[in-house]
Amino acid sequence: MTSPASSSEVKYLIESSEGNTFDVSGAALRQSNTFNAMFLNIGADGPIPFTDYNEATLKKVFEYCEHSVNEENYSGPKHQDDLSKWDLNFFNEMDQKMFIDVINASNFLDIERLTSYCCERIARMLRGKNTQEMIKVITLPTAEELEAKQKVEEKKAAAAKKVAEKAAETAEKTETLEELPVQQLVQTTRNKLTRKYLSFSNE
Amino acid sequence: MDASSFPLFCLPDKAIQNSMRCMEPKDIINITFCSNSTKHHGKCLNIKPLECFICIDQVVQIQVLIKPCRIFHSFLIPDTLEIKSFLDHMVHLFGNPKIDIYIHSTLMDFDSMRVVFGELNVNCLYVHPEDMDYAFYKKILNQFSKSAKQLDLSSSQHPMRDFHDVLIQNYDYISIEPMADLKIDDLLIMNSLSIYVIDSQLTDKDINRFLKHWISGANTRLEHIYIEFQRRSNEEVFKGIKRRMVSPRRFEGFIGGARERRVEELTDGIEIWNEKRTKKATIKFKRTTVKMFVWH
Repeated sequence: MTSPASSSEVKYLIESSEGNTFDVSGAALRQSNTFNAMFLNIGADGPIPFTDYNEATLKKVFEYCEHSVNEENYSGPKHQDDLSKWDLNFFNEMDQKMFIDVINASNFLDIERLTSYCCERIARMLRGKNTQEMIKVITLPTAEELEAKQKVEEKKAAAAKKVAEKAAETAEKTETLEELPVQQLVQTTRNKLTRKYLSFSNE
Repeated sequence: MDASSFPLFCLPDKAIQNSMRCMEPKDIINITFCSNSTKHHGKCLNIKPLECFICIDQVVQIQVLIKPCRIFHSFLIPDTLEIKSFLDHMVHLFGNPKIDIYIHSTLMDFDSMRVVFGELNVNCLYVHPEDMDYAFYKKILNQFSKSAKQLDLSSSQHPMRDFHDVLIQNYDYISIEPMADLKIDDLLIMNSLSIYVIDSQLTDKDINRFLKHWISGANTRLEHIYIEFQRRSNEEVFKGIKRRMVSPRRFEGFIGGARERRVEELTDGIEIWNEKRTKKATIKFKRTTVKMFVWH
């Protein structure tokens, strides 16, 4: 849905598990190493399918990314006490389910800053507790639950594969573009820009 | 968000491990005892403690230094199974780390010690007994000194000549204090990189004899030796030995009980050399001590 040489104004369409699409700035999306590895240099033709995560979760994740666009490059975990008021509000307003969904999505998208702040929060929950107290907090899974988790991990791997295939497909198209004569290349780019314009006007 | 319960295992493995990485070292150790799964995640963190040591005294204390914390676990002597289980866990978690063992008392019997500590990767063995009988002392040294890289013995009333099979091993570092019966022959059979002799009754003549043996080719691996002795005259120490004064040089070698090589700055010294002129050594005196640094 964009050109490879994306500027901060460039928007990408993201598709959630409900099939809904919404746009995210290139600058925000570039905080995702998964995105960088797959789409940054080739662009995306059509919505990027992050269909393992619901819209609310993805919006929450990219809300964080949009907010931290202008922050300096991530240089390792920050102590919770050093988080800004905005960061604290961001985390505090999430319930546990949303928090877990956000970690899962952030982990998949490989957004270092967000993942590390979430993990730091979990570490804080367990700080100073002995083993017995920790067992109570972390609610150890049963064998069935571990098996179910294994299945979820496999499903996630399949989703990642799907995204990778999409990236490969786009790359193939990009390569084809490069082989086109100049006239055709101009026309194809014009079509892409028109589609992009339409996607914004649909909102 | 409710902090009293959190389904950690709902998270992907990477997030679980990242969360553990954010924990204090003590919390990491505690959480690895929760289940096999947390133990597995703990191992995946690939933590290398800076120091691990076990002190056997009135109780058995196990210390693990993981920056920036030193973590202590104490066990009563009879709880050998509990100690063994804890150590097995640590060995698994930290990938068979080097462990220093301090033996200060005989409250734990030898067979229990062998079962609990026998398989450990011993770095330094300290045997500082107040009341250790000969048989126990000998068994301890025979059992644990073979795998040790460093040996630290003190306060033994037992004759050194009975432990030549222990002293002769190639330790990185050996420290002896204070052994009333220590003779130069005991020093000459040591094949360590660094030797410390504290509070000895050795005389100027003994040091002179040691230097002459070194010149002739004894203690081939020696990089550094420190001896506290009954010093009276440098002339006696160097009698019959060619020497010259040298300007300060920077020495790099295995010095003391350091785990790694370290550098000691020299101010000045007296240089001697071996017969083949393949090695030089700088000797420095301070009050009743002599230090020798060998240039390889």
